This record gives sequence, structure tokens and C-alpha cells, in this order.
Amino acid sequence: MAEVRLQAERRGGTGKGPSRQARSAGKVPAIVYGRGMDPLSITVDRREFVTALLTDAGINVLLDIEVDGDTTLALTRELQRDPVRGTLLHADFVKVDRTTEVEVEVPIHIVGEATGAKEGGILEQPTFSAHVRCLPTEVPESIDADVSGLGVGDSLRVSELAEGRSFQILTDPEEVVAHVAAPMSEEELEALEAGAGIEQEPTDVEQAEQAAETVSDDADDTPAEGDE
Amino acid sequence: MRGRAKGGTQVSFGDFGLMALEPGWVTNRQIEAARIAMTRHIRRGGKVWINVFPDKPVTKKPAETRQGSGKGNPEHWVAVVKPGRVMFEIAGIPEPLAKEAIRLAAHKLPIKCRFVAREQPLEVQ
Repeated sequence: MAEVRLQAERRGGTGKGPSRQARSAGKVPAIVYGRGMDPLSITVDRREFVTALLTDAGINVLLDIEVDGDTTLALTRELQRDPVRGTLLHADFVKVDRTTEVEVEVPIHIVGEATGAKEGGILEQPTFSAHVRCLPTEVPESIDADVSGLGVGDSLRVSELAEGRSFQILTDPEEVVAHVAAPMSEEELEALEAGAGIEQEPTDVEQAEQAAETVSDDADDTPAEGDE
Repeated sequence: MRGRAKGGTQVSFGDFGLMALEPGWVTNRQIEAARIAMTRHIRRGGKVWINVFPDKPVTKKPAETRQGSGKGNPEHWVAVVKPGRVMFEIAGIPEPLAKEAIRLAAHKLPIKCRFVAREQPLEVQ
């Protein structure tokens, strides 16, 4: 489990003004809370923080946040990002203890090629992460889901992933992680391509009828000579 | 139209998506045209999600009509889209095929769009 030291500064003001100033100075506004401590508004260097997030642990990287000489062990609980640019806007850090278990989201990675997919089926992945309880120092980087045994119509559930793990998976065991759907028939494909969705384009006959209606409406609306 | 999308800004169901980069009204016909363009390109390989729904009616007065006499009749339906909104998602196909399908779909829409993947890279700036 990766552990990264992160230098932080106490944030003087809160709200959009000071936060925008911090962002333009290459910092990310953030807050640290949890385990009985008073919430502490801080800023961290954007470059350092992104480097920390780019380790194999991703967002679950264990951080040693150093503020005014005090070090706090924390995990990232939430990241706010600009939806268009993708830049970091704000981060929430939650204080953790090395000996107390935490709950984190761990990504699920599909491994192998499903037998059903080779036969023309479509491999679907409805669940992309699992809620896991473990020690902060033992958070897994990812959970591998081997789908090589899945035929057409077969599903892999969370309960099958949980077997033989050192951590506890809290996600509903019945939740489907991967599923091989049957290939579409020619009729289904034609129906999809023909546009059985929101609305079909009007046919030429319908368009001609609409045009005729519009012309007759206009004729009714035309004022008689001598009006005005 | 002010602001950015507050929800639906991530690829949630599929592997790749089409993100709006500017605000606009997307009509039911444009959404349908984009969906058909994507479906035709990927054939039976993948799955497509549409994350926007045209729930806003737009009225229009008939052509060559004098002003007055009340509001026009509902003409069509639109989805209000703000920058950052992931409008379509696609899964079950390789990235080059998804990119081309998304490109074809983007040509049917009245706004600038971008191809996005599930895990967007972090930008340092």
C-alpha cells in the first residue's frame, strides 16, 4: 500500500474568494476531518497531490498530511473536479488510524476473456467498484474479476469475488459484477437501426399532409382586403 | 445559459461517452439521429446508453402568421444540456470503434462535444 507525504498549509479564509485565489496559485483547497478532530481547512500543492493520486493505489493512497509540523494520517474521501477541464477543485481528507478498519471503494478490474464473448455474446460490467472494509494500510489497489469461465447468459456476482480475500466486501453479495448477454438477433438489430427509440422522422406523406395543413391555416389567417 | 452540468458529468454505465462542451437544446430528433448513427456503426457489438431525455416542450408560431393570438403550439421537445454533461455512453467495444461511433454521433448534435473515457486523466496544469 502506497504511502505519500503531502505538505499542506492552513487556509486563512474559506468560501469562493480565497478558494479561487488558492486555485490560481497552483493549490487545491481541502479539508481534513474525522476521528474527533476539529475540521481543518487546508491547501495542498496541486502538482504534489496529483502525483500522489497517480500511484497504483489511486484515490485510496494513504497520505501523511503535514500541517504546521503536525502530521495527520488520512485517506481521500471525496474529490471535486471541474466537469469539463477535469482539474481538481477541492478534496476531502478523512483522518484514519493504522489499527482501525476503514470503509473504502475499490475498483473492480475485469481479467481474462469470457468464453461467451468469443461466441458473439456481449460482456457487460454493471458494477465498477466494491465497498470494502479493511485496515488503511492494507487497502487493495483493485479487485480482479476473472471472467474467463463465463458463457453466454452467465453472471459473476460479488459473492464469488469475496472468496479467499483478506478484506471484507460490504457490497451486496448478489450484485452482478459481469454478465455475458446473448448476441442480438437480426430482427432486434434491424429494429434498433430503424429507430424504435424516441421518435421517428415523419414520412414524406406525413410531411406533405403537414405542409397542406399549414397552407390552409395561413389562408384562414390572411386578412381580407380593406382591413386596417 | 449559465453554469455547468451539476450531475451526469461522469461516465457511469459504459466505458466511453460523449460529453457536451457548450450549453444548448438538443431535440428529440437529434438525439435519435445520434443514437442511430452510433448503433449502425457498432452493429451488434456493444451497448448504448442515452443519458439525456427531451422533456421540455418548445412552441412555435406557424410561418407567415401575424403576432398576437396567444402562444404558438408545441412544435418539438428538447433536452437542456449544459457543459460537462455526458449525453451518451457506450460499452462492450474496443476504443477505436467507440471513438468513431461517438464521432459520428457528435456530428448529429448542435453543440460542441468531446469523447471521454471512464477514467479521465487528472490534469496538473
